[in-house]
Amino acid sequence: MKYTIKRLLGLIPILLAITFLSFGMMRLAGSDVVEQKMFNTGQVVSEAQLQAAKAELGLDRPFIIQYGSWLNNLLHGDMGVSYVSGKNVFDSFVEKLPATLYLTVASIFLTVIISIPLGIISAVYKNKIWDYLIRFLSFIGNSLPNFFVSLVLMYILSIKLKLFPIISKEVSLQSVAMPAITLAIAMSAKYLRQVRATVLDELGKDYILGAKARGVKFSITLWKSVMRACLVTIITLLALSIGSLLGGTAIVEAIFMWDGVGKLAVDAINMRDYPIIQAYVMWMAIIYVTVNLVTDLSYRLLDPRIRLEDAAHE
Amino acid sequence: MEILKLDSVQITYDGIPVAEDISFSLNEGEILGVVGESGSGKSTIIKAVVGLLNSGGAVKNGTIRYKGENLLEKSERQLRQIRGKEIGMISQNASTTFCPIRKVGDQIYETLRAHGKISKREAKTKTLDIFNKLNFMDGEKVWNSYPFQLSGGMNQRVAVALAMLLEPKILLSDEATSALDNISRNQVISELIKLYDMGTSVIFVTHDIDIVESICDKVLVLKDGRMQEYGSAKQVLFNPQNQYTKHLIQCTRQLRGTGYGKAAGNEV
Repeated sequence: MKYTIKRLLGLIPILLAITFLSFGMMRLAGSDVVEQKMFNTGQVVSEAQLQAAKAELGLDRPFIIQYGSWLNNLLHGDMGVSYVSGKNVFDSFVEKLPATLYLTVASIFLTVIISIPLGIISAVYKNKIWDYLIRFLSFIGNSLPNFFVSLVLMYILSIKLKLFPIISKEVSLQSVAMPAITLAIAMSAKYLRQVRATVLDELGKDYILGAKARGVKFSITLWKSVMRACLVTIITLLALSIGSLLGGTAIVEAIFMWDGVGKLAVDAINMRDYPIIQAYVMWMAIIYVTVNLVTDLSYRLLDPRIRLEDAAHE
Repeated sequence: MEILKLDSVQITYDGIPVAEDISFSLNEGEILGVVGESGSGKSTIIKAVVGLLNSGGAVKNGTIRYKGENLLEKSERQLRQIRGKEIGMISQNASTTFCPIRKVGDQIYETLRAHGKISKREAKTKTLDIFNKLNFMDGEKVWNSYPFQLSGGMNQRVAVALAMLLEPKILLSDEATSALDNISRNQVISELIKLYDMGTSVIFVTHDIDIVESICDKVLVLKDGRMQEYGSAKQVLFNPQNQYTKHLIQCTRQLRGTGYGKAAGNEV
């Protein structure tokens, strides 16, 4: 508990640093929302009008003042309004979250059920036909870019077999299938190699032979000992993926018109919509810190060596 | 009565012979010492008995008969029933033979469960009973410990206790005392002797001629995977015929403590 609180308190300086940096970097980008709007619409406006528009949004003030005022509003629970849509930032963000969460859960679930069994089979039957076949598939999966997989899936599953819609009109199980499968194929291809390597490493340990010498079934050793030992590595990998998936997957979201935070972030960056970008950056920081914390806590749960060592230091 | 018999056994690793023409037998109620320098093939031979050679290893020739049946013809499933229950094994570093992230008690229960129907509660009662007989300080604590929380000596003693629970006909002790300090070593040996008293025959692989002299009935001397000498402990240790055996005994005798033991004509 003490550990968890300590880690959550550690989030404060991280958030301050990261929002400050992103605030600074966006200003270094050279243009702002007013100029972008002008550029996009092709309107010609006078310098005075431009300055007035900037002043209205407070963009004429020094950078540090802008940051201070943004931070002050944030501390009062106000994340501001989008420069582009004029909508409340928090509301627009929350609006996009369900789609992202749904896609994350679906694709991680698919990845787990594909990569873990295949990785284990590949390791247990090392250098046998199953291993070669699985590794070949993994190689193919790794080599195909997401956009290509999306197009192939669209062609086969949507156009030919008519199983799933090409463009998602709503957040449903049917519409999440295609983007989730696309993401899961790439992740599974990567993961199953990791799972295979981890399981192989565990299978080489003395305790496998020890359990065998005691007459314990291999399947029991595999499930109770090997899998538990491998979970630490698998969870680390999954946590990193969950982090990046929660941050949105711009390409896949764009291809399938999946209205998640990835698309929101890319649009905001293109338009220099600072309040939205700041919210996105904070969201990412919170995700990574939380995911890392959950991962560390799970290590302690899974590996008594870590748990007892940490307990001894506390 | 002969319980285990190896006849002209040849073992190879990746096709290269590492032990050749190995023939010996173990009678019921007997302790056989297998001695030789590192790399002489001692561990390989006993691993071959229970079909646990490392990858690349294979028994190419000969027979390994347990109660008259050739173990080399047994299926993996049949061997599984023999391992632990009929032929137990304790290795040099028992702590590594247990899964590091699971409690000792769970692994003992898992082993007992592999050889018959037993509830966890029964398994625990039986185990604590044996722990008690072996004078473990706090059996309950050992049951709830992870292997890495126990000392090397304690892990060895847990392995002996587990062997006692299974009451195997044969125990293969693969340098079970080599990595221990003197106190732990003596404890483990006296516990192995308790197991022997319960009716288990023992093959004792060791570097330690003193132990062989103290507890073994027969001795097999190995060098480079070949048998050098094989016979009663008394004969091999006190009247060695082979040059290598003479040399080995001479080297180790210089460090020897006492002349006490079976080979010297004393009771254990």
